Amino acid sequence: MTSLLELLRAGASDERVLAWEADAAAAVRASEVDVLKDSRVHFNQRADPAVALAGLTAGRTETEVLEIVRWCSDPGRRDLVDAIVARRTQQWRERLFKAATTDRFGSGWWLIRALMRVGVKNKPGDLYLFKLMAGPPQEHGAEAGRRIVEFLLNDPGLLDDEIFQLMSTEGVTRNLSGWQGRTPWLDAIEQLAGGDLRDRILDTVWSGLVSDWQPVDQRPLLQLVKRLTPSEDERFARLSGLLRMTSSDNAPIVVWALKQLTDLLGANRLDADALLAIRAPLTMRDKGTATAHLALLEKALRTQVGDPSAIAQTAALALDHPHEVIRTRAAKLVAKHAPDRVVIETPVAPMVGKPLLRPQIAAFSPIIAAADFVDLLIASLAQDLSGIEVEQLLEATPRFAFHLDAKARRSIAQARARHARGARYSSSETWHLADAIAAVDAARPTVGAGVFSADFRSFDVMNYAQVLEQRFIHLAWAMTRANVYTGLATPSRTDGTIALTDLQARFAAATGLGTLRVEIATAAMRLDPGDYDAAEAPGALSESEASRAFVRDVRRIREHQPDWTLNRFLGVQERILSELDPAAPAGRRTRAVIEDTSDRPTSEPDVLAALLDRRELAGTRRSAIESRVVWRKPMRAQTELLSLTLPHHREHYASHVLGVIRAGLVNDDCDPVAPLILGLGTGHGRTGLASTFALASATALRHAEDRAAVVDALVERATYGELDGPALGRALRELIENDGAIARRVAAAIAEAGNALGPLSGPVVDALIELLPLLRPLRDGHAFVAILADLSRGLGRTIDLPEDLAELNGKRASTALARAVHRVPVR
Amino acid sequence: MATPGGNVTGQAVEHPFFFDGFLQHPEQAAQAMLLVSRVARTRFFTPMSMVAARIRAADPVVSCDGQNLRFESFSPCCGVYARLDLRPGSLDTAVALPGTTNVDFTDGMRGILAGIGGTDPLHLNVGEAVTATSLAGTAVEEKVPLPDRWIKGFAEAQLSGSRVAERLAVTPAAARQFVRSLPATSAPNGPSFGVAPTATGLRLTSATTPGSVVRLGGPERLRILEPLLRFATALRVSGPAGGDTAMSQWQLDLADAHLTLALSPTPSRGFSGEGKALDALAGETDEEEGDAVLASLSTNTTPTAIAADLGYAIEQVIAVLDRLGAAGLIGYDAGIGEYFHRELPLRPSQKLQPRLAGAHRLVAKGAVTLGDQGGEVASGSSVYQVRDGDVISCTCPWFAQYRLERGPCKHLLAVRLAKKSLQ
Repeated sequence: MTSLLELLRAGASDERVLAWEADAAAAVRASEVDVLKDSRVHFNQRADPAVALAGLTAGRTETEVLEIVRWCSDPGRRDLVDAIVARRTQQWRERLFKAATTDRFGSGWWLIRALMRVGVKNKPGDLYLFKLMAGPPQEHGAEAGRRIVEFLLNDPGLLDDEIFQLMSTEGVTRNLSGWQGRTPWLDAIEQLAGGDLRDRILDTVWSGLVSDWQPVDQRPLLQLVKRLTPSEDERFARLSGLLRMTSSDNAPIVVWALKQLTDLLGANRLDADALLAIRAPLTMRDKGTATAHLALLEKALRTQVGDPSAIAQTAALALDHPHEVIRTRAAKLVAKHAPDRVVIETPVAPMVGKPLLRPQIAAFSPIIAAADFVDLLIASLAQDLSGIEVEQLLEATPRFAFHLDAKARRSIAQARARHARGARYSSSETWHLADAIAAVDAARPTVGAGVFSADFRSFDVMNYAQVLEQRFIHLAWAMTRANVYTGLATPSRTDGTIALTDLQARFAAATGLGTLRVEIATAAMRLDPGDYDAAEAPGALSESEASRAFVRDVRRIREHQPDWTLNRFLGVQERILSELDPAAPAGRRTRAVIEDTSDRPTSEPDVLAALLDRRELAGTRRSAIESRVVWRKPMRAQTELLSLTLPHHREHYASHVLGVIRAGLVNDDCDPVAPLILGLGTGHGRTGLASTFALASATALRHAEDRAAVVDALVERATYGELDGPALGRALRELIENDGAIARRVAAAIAEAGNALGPLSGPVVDALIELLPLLRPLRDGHAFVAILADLSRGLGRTIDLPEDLAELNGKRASTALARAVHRVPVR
Repeated sequence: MATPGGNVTGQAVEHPFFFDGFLQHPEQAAQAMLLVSRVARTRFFTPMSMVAARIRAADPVVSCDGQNLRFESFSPCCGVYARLDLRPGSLDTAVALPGTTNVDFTDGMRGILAGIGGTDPLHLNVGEAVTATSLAGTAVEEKVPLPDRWIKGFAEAQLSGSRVAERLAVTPAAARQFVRSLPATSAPNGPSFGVAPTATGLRLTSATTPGSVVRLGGPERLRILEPLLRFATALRVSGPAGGDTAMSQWQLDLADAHLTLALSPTPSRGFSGEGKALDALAGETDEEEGDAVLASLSTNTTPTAIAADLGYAIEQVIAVLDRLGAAGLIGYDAGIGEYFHRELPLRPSQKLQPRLAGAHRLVAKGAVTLGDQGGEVASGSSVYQVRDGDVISCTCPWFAQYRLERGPCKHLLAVRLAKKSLQ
């Protein structure tokens, strides 16, 4: 018997094919199916109608048929397809229908449709609609729209039902948008709307636009209705739908509906009641919807539709709109037609507050019970502890490690084993402690008096994260030796500071014992610089090698006071960018680098140097912690311990975080670093360029966590009188002018800090004054002036405006900047 | 599983209908119902392992206590709970009887609600099905299965909701300003924020900032309130007393209605997994006591009134209410400070709580050795030390990870169950 595939390729008639189907023995069919299964793997066979027809004819089970034809395009020859399908039993057809309508692969829509034509009555689901949309346009290429219309007209059932289902099923309509710039289905529906179906299509589209579907599903319908350009009569006939669209959450639909309503108003086809029932658009945050709504209200006033006072009452909804231009436009309308609704700023008596004293810091509480220690150690292996909890752990480990009972040791060992592999984050620091506890025994080698660090000098301490790890490693080492004093660096208070009296007691207790280098250095950094003289005085600390090392560290800290200078230089990236964009401002072609110009000595790399010896900030050389934080969110303990380790040295603290913050300026995808930013607000000690520049830079970050943190830091520093306003202003100016920071973000952070501070917002005003010379040409300059106006009024301060802004003050307010300038109380 | 037949005029009815009437403030009510339904369709958090999978979105549970008509829903991620309480002033009723149903708000129903504008009338008939009729047409929604995790979620939301206190109330303008200032996204497992009052309203702060009155995890979830803010007369913010956990409750005062949104501590944490209800569920179950309190709840809605009605001690009533709440059978309406009855299909919801079931298994296996202030629990190849006195702790990985933030671990529950069995 001749192969069916060959027959079809040779152009066999319908009768010939059907005769083959009637005569073919089971073995012949099986052999034919084998050939077809082989041929279907070739992509070019998918468009071969012979394969589809042969598969449908020869296939015995529904699985076999579907396996062959699933990827095949519509083979045409509808009569033959229908005849082949009609010869099968109803049960077979229903099985094939079910398999085809639930098959997530391929199209096969033509087959489903053929089954429906010959009597399968089951209602297909959404997948059927997807297959319908995915099928024909691909087959017919660029003229898909016209071909779809032909296709639909040839199968009238589709026009009765499916075409409207496409437009009214959420999740399906999104596919009407087409792909690669082609919109075949929208083209087709647009063509169909030129005929008898127009009203029904318009009603369906209207209904989709009124629904609460996701924007992605409404977007194609909006595209379609814009193409259909409904006439005035058609729009008027669907007026209630238009009115409902104004309450939609989807701003483009609201704007479109308002524009149609404005047109109808112009044609006297919108009455006052309907007009005044529209209220939602003015309460949306979107600028476009409010603009369109105000335009409608203004037109109503011009055409004298509706009571002007009632219209103005509606406009009053926008008096607190987030966009200044909307507020102003609404206020103008309200002032003219409903003066009683105008909110007159009641002059509030200016209030200036005095900075507060920092509250007393709580004392550090050591762990009391061994069971609490075990719980905290186990918790440290599973979760990110706070910085102070890590300090508690470090302090408690040597006290409890030798007195734990077997149960506690077993619990620690179990927890350690669980976290040996696959821990969610690196908790390797506390592993050292757990391992040391497992290893402790009474027979520890005795160590004499001395400062121990040599064992670890090969481990080059380059950054503060490693300093933290060194504390764990040293402690673990100390627990394997007898006569080593630990706990020298334990904080006296929860902010990390150590009281001199505590330190004196600890050195006395450590006499004759070994001590750890990292503990000495950490203790020196935690001592208040005001106590340095007392600590250095002869006899202040018990005489030992450790106390001598401590005094040396204190002297080094005194000497290591950086003198930061901001420079800009041309880096490789900047050079490439300047070649690509020669018109960019000179400043933006350079990179800001803060360099230490002091003549402080250079130290050998050790624990103290890792924390204090940074010479170049925000340059191309990232410290290890900067790299770590830029690429991976830092652990909470690490970020908190940095401020706990440097509680009196803000500038040194900032020297470690500035680069991380500025990385976020360049790359919005960096992880949030809010805990590091919060550290800029806490702590003690002098503030300088590094900490101010870090704070200023953080105002331009994207992440909400970072933005909340920088406002908190600004508020905290200003509250305690530690914010240098003019210095902050200069840093902000550098940031906006030369680093291209997004001014809108900066203004939002500054405004929030100013509002939160209220009577204490003086430093924020000082910062804004520094910014004034920059604002006239700046796109969002008006936002800064508006904040300045609000805050200076609240404080009762008058401001000297620079010449370019003062010039605006004498003119009619036509821009947001000029309007803001008018509100500034000028000296 | 589906909501059962209602309880109409004190009689169990297989196919009840318990509300029939027009809604006052129809546009506001329709928008609020849409918001409740939108919460049920919005996934605020998609776990990495579930990007391809989708949990079927469920739709509102509707209940009536004879006075108030309530619509409740959870987001598919179970991290947001929404409830609309329509007060008697909102309801122009022919029939309002106690009952509960759970229906799917499909396209048709949402179309009807979205089409309500201005003073268009809206008629609701709630029974086994919910029928909404407006000038544009009628939509009928049939009862659908109620997801198990919703029942767990109801329990957690109820317990959390009854233990919060109002911290702040702001004007509609301040509420709009605050909601508009919220970020569009935040890290799903990121730190919570705080909310602090300012001279003009509210601001988002870092969680640990002094002055912040509630924690707010995943602040972008609050933005779902925005369409309803134009109807609001105030926004009330509530949080737990200690402020340690980040669950927060946001209530919009509307005309004769309240819309409450409860947010889980972070978007990645659903109410259904919080485990705060486990202790209450592990308590002794006295069916008669529970039935009596439920019966009394139809006329008395505060613990004091129920105690007076039944002659119970107030502490006893509160304990029973906690147990009923933990089973999802009652809810707490913070807007009026009253409890309400919710007919749910399952009475004993211990089956739904794997931790509690695990604890029962441990007790049954004799894995618990009680000590002075806790005990030892052998689980698998490990033995965990449990402390349950002044200090509560366990040496298991669950406790190490969450401590008591998400309820007790199964070992702690097992020790408590073993202790109870001795009493």
